[in-house]
Amino acid sequence: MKQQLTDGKIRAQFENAGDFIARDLTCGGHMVHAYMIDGLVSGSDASHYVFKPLSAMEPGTMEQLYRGARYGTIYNSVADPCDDLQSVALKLVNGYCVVLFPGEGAVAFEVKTPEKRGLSAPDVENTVKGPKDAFTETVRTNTSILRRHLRTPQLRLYQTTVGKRSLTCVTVAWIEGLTNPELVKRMKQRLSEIDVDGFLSPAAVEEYVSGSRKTPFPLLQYTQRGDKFAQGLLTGRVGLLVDGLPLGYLLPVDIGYLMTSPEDEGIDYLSASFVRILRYGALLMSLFLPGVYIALVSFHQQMIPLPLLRAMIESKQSVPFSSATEVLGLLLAFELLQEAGIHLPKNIGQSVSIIGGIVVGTAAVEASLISPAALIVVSLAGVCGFALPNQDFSEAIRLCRFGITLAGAFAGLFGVAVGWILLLTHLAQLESLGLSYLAPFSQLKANGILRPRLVKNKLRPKALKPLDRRSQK
Amino acid sequence: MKRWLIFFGVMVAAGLMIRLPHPATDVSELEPVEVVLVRQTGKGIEVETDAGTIGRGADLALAVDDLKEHSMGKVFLDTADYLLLEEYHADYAAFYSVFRPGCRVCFADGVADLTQAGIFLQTHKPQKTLLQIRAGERVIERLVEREGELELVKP
Repeated sequence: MKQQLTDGKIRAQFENAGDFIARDLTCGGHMVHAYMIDGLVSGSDASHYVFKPLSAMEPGTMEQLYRGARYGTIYNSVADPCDDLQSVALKLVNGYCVVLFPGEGAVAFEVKTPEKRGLSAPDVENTVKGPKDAFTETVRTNTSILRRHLRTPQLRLYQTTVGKRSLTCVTVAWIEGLTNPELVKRMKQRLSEIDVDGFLSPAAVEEYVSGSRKTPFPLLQYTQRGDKFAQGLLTGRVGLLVDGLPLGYLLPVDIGYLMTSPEDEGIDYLSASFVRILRYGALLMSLFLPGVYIALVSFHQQMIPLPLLRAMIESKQSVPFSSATEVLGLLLAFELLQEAGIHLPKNIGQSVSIIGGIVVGTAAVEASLISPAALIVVSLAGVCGFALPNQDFSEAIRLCRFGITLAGAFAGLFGVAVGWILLLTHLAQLESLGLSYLAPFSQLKANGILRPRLVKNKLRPKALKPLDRRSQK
Repeated sequence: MKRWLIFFGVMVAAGLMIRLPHPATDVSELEPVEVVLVRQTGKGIEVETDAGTIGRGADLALAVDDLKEHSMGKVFLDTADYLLLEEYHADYAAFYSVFRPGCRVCFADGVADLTQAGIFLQTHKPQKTLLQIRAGERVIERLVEREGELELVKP
């Protein structure tokens, strides 16, 4: 293998790469070759901690020089030997400086550039009292954040690369002696089975890791927060960190996990439980309110209290569209507004939301294009959707809301009931790493919804089959 | 096989959704009713609503059909809260399929304005409902209008 590594082969590997730097150095009376990628490597560190000690090495044979470089003459924290062309290339693209000792082999020294985004507060999972250190795009920074939250030596970080061309560094995190080894095994197996060019986008991670999902519902939970990630590992789940994504993924996942917010751990259990009940109420409202409204105003008017019905009829008299058209149109407009808000810069996005939501909405009511009741119903459903802590789950609910609204428009409450049964059937067949999606509700206990008192919460979730179930005495 | 089962299930659900329920009526087409006066005349039954619509027929069913035909919107008797009976001596059974069981019933004497009667009855609710009458109750209050003032008289 050693004979295969030559200066020509390494140069050929990065031929025409503008950022590839190759430098010949005299070291101990011999010519050695140093390689690095500009931008990934700190030039100053390379000069001080690789080139300077190299040039100061005592004369000797090439083998002596190679051994000296590997075992301490060059004072660098990491000095990994590279035996073949592939490992050399991998080290170079990961910010190493590789020195080739012709005929002996190559040694990679870590001199990564410190250029990376600093720690900042999370964008979406804000808490009042919780920590503010969110994950960044650099996996090593993320593992350091995790280590700071979880200092146990039992924390295991299995590192591998996924993506034939992107060579994305992926880290699986778990706690040895606590996490069910079967979960870790399955996660590693899934990663090893991924055969894809690039593993760069969140959708790629989510789709390949969870299996080709035929569902809008998220089968893994993402978080920007190190504390939430660490808490997930402590409950016996497996974590996944992907280089380039400022997120951590937790598996397995069920609806209970998706409905919890980091803020729940920052307030007392009574308030947290109350908020959680509210959240579940918001989930149901977001899902069913437009469908039930259409069903009531189109099929079951006798269920509406008379004064309300009279008011609704009055407000609808001059509206040219049917209630179903109104609500479906408003739901579509709501989605478009959200889409516009995402693609525009933050400040303009807010303006668009205000103009679209308030100004256009009010004008449409005044122009008798829509009735106030329909606007209120769609706005309420939208606001309730925003109360859900997980964005992916919220989007899945929005999609299902369309289906249930259409079913309500076609067949009234019967249609809504059919939609609900189909949705439940779909959710019941979903699994995340073997965990049922509806696990919190399978035993009809309130624990799945309410936040338990921490002093009483002594056991880890049984469904995760942790090796150590007891979390406290 | 699984796909065929799913397809079959979806088709059955879609078929049921289209066929089972009543056809949709948009709320804007409705003419809601709160008070209904049923009057027995020499020619048959006359039904009048607080929306001002009147229907006539040989019996209640025909009168209601006539009412629906002559109304501007779609008369919605499911919201009727008060059923006033004037000179009515026929069988009450005809009411059970037209009005809600919770609809309150009283006799009426010389009530001219049904809208005013509705407002009065909201605060002075008659005791008996159609459900109780169906169960055999026959002691029914009487709504009378004296010098423009409404009064609910206990029997």
